[in-house]
Amino acid sequence: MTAKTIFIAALFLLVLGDAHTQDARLYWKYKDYDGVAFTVPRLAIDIAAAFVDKGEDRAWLRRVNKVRVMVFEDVRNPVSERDMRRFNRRATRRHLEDMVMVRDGKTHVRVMAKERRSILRKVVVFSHSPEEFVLVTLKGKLRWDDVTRALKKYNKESKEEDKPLIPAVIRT
Amino acid sequence: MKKLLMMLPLFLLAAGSATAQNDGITRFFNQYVDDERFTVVFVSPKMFQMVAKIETDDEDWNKFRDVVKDLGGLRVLTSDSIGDGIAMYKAALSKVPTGEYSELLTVRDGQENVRIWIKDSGNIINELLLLVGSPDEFTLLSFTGKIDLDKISSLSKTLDIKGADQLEKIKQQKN
Repeated sequence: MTAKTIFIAALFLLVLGDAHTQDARLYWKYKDYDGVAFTVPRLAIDIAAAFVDKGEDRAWLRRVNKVRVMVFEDVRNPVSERDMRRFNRRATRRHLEDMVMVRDGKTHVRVMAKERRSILRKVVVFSHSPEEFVLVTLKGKLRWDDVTRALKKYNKESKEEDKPLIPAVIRT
Repeated sequence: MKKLLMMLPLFLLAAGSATAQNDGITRFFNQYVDDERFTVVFVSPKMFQMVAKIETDDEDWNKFRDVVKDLGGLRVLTSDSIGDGIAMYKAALSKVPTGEYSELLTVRDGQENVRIWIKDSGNIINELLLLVGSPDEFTLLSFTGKIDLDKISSLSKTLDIKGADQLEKIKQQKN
């Protein structure tokens, strides 16, 4: 193997590593720690969509490609500050923007999103404190009509259950 | 070409001074963004744009949407159990470039100080800055975007943030 091949291979791996999405990096590093971590792949979402009665809801679900959840509860948050800083750097580089950020004491809640041509490609929700860490990622091609529909549904349910209209994440 | 090269630093200088207008306040905000004594809220301009796109037939939501649709961003730094609220208030006050803002309201009630500034171009208010300081409370709130004072005061109830209730004073003053 020539030095040139090794160099190209190393470069390729470097590019591949960087292309690895920001939240996925965190997920893969910490998914085996003592907590809950799972990925719902597209196939599972499509199967679930088949059982949904309403056509509109089915179409909405089918536009979701992947859902990733990682929760550490009642244990020390294993995600290091260094990894969070690295995540922040990569997120900015990859156009994942802060939508809402609330920090109250040691509790930090962030909602980040990536939007292209009026389509939501990714939504990442973080909530972390010394005792808890929650990461929810939703990848797909969600349109604003989908969000509107989901919100309408939430409003209807929240009125029935007397929940507040504005989500708790933007209330202090 | 020479002329162009000479104009470039001038242009950069002008652009720099335009962005440095509220740099003092931004720096002040960033200085305390990780301080655990404070509650920090940041809502990006994009979030407001997104909210404006969501249409429902819910009246409350539509009212909220109507208020936030022209807003560019929101930053809040608040604490209700701080020992040096007055000192913080004075420190923040010194960072406000008073030449660029016009004072909308000043209230001093005992040891509680409230000040609201706006930055406007023509009839449009582009920025609103609220500063509240009392011995154990401090709030810095900054709105950007196209601001309607009537609508913004109604947002104080929705926000449910300590100090944001002071926005109600804008309406009271107008009446």
